[in-house]
Amino acid sequence: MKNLWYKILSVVLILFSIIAGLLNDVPRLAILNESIRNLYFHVPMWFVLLFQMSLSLYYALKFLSNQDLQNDLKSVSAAQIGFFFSIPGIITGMLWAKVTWGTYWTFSDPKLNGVAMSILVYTAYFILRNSIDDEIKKAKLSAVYNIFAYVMMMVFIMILPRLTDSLHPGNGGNPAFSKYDLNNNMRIVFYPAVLGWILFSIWLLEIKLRIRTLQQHLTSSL
Amino acid sequence: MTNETIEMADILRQSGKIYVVVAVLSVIFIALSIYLFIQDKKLQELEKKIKEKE
Repeated sequence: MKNLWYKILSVVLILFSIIAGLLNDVPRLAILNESIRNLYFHVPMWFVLLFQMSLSLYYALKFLSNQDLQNDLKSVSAAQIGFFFSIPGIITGMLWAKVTWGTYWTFSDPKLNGVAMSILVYTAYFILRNSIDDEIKKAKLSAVYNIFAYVMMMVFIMILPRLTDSLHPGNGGNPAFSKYDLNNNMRIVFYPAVLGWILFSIWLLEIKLRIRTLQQHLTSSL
Repeated sequence: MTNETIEMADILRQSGKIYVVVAVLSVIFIALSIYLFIQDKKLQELEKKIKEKE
């Protein structure tokens, strides 16, 4: 099978995160209690989103420099995969927020608002694509918009939450991934989980692109 | 931060029932990934067929 090694690695890493994620020792913290283990499953969803959106931006820039429609296809496919992962990211975040912050959604947390805004920005990206018939024009406009969308997302979820108070760790001056809230015991599960899910999303992207290539062959041979 | 009074699922762990949860989740994930591998394989066969036709 094509690129078998990384597919097996992704499955092994995610499996490891499920097993070790439920069994290994975690810090005993008030309010969080056992729900701290959600870190291994909720946070990787957002790492996948960031990874795929970065990939999407990369191919958008590549398209703008060489005008190859294949790069446009890769760009939009990566954005779709990333967008898809925001759904489990939001839902798992809401469930976790309910038990720790006491509510499914709070508008006082800038990261939640930022994520909601970013999702709208990327929704507009897909709508923009669907509203243009000319393939080249569509690819060019959406590649330019992609740059804008990526910058907006970075401002919304990486910069603004760090400037104001946030309930999320790592924002509003709270350190994330520091010795205070992520000990070494958790790191050995968290990092493989992130890598595993990123590889898994690459697998999904590969399948998506291969199907699209087959479809192109089919329409060109008709 | 090693406060023993903070409530964790210690009883679930002591009784060993946590292993059942881990096993169930693992089985579901393994089953889904095997399914994805099979679909990947089928896609590859399709790609081969189209290449041969050309």
